[in-house]
Amino acid sequence: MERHVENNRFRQEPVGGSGFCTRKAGEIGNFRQDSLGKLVAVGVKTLVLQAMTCADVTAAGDAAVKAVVGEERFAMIQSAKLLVVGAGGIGCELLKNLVLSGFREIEVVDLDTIDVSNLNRQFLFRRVHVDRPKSVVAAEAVKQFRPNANIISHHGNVKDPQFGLEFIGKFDVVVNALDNLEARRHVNRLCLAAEKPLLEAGSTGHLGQVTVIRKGETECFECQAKPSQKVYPYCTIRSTPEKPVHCLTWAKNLFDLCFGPEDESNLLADLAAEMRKFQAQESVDGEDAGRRIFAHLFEEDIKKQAQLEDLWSDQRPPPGPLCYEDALKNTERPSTDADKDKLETQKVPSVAGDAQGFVAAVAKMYGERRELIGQSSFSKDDPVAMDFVHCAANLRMQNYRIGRLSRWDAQSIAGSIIPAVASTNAIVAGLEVVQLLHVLQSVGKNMKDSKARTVWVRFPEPSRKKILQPSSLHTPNPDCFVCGSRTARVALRSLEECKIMALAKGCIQGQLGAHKPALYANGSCIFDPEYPEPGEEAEEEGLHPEWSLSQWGLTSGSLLQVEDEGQGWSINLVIREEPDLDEQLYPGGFKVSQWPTQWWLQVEAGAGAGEEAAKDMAEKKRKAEADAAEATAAKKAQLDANTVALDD
Amino acid sequence: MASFASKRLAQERAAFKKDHPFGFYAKYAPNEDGKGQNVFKWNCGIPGRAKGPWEGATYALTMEFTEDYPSKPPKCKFAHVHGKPLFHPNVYPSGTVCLSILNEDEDWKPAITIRQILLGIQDLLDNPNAASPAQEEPYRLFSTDKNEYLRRVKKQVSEVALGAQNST
Ligand SMILES: [Zn+2]
Repeated sequence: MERHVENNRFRQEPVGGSGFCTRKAGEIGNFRQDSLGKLVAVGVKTLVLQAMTCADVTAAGDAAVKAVVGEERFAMIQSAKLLVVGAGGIGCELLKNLVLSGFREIEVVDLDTIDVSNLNRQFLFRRVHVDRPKSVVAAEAVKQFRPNANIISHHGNVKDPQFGLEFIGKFDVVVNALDNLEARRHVNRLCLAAEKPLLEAGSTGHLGQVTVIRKGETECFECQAKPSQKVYPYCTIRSTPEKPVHCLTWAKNLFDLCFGPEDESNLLADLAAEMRKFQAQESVDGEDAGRRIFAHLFEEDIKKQAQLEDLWSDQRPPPGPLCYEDALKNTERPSTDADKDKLETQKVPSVAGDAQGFVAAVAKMYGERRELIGQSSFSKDDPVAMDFVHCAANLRMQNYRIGRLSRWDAQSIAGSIIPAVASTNAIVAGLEVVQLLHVLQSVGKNMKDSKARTVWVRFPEPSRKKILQPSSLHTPNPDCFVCGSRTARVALRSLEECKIMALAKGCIQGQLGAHKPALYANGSCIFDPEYPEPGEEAEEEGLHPEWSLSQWGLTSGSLLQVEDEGQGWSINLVIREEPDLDEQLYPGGFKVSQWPTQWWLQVEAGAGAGEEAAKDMAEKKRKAEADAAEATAAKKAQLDANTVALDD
Repeated sequence: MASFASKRLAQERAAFKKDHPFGFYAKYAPNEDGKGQNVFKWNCGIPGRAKGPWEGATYALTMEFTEDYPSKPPKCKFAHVHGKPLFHPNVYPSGTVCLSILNEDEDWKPAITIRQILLGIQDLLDNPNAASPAQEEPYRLFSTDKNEYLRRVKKQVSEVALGAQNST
């Protein structure tokens, strides 16, 4: 109980006069959970700002930090040159923590400008700052905490050439505060190439992670495959959906098909003719169009699908058609006791609600959005588009007997968003500072022998009280194609059909995360990122982006070298032709796998006829892994995924 | 390409693309058969420095590398002007540039970048080295008749600006 009183006193203590200081200030050290399940920072390690003049604040703050970390470490803190990448949710917390911990030499890069929706948690920003660059405002704000800090802000994309190896080379440590996979991969590669330690952090919902990466000593950000944006097999989307996400993918494609520009690659292109009948007409009664599209999609098309007998079995019964009038009669809402505290959008609507919502969304598109038809594309933030997709997906789930979703859940899956939680960001940013101190102290020794750890932040389950789960750093994966063997296998259907530009864009940029790949084969440069498209200029340089791999003299087993001119990263690709590469599993047309360093072990294990079995096993394993990954996503427990923090 | 030399050249190119002095260019030469680019042969251009006698044109030059690069320097060769070697005391009749940083027995170091080589040659254009003559006529005029030397240089500037340089 005594502890409790202390905690309360702690929280109520007035902190600082400035509006900026009212948050819990500069916490270093461990977090503990008190009996109320709230986070409190423990003991002397918490620094509280008093209402003082700036100089006093700086002096007192520095003295407090020095008392905690000691003279020697404090000197290290003051001289360390840091690069902070990102000034959003984690970045604001991080910059505040850093200056209050005594860091003085900081540069910060961020691409974004401030949006109203950021203000609820990116606490360095105020309404007057809206539309200004995040990096600039964040730097100005934290400079008020410590006027003697030297903070340089850059409003730009960390992938721009000015932030290349030379730039990274200026710093002692790079600290990430990013929310997207692509930029995190890029910074990972830059830091490996520049041999700079990197603090990696991420948060999704109540989950977070902080880790330390140093070349050759620890796992890099890409040593373990990340669940990337999943591409679903065509027939699952078109005919045999099993999960809500399949129906949502279908509905997103449907929206683009109905209201977007013509796109042959749309998964539902075979429905296009039917849908476009409405688009072409001068004036359309939106209600009527909605009902006709309804009948076409959820009744007639389903009847057709149900007749494809090969698809259905006892385990997988055919879908049931739904007619609009019947749907309207189904006003029952699935609800549970837990629902009573929920927002309306967090509850699953009735089938009638979905049917009406669908028709209403179509009517709106043909009404107030008339002039945008033919040029719209799905966005989770567009309420009409989201209503359309939610209702359409739910109706399809009804067809296929899949449990329908609330609009809230549909939106998070459709936009692959997991809401950003300010507390998680704060914890993650605090942990980054702790790990940063370990990194600074590990100079001259292997990171694995330091106190640096990977720390997971988890939403506490009632059975376990722990929020933080540290684990020791792992050694690099020797097969990692970024920091290890740098060799990967790429299988594709036809060397004769695959253009070199398609390989560069679809596979090397898209799947391997390269930024500006130049390709070399047989001692020549055969693709230059400066000439990504065919043209006279490219031709004069001896480049032909439109040539197929076989025109370039590549055969199955050929080696292709990739030099990334934007990341200082390189990789060797072993190209293999697999005419029967499964289109459903690899809709992009490329299968990328690691080239194991001890490849001979695999060859021996899978010798002769065994190879087929090995392939089968690998496929099964891959499927199982994919399913597991998806299940995790459904539970919103997927960290590091290609997710976007809400509104960031 | 897997070789150390080609790897370094690929990196040099990436570095040059990212940041190169104004007016210069340096890129892989296309293969003779038009299929791809030769990593070991570069086509470069060096502008005459502003306010100097060579101002007003960009001089085409090829760099040829071997598998021994970067322990050995590249061979740098100016394209001929109207079929004659570039008029400069330190350019051999073949077009090859005579410069200490391009000589492995003198000042060549593996750390020297392509950008530095090009800047070094640009500097050489304005400041010939009287200690290493490579072409008789320009050397003689440079040592005995600076006015005539400058007149000839200026004449060459306008010829090159009009496209008189052809690759050799
Ligand atoms: Zn790695």
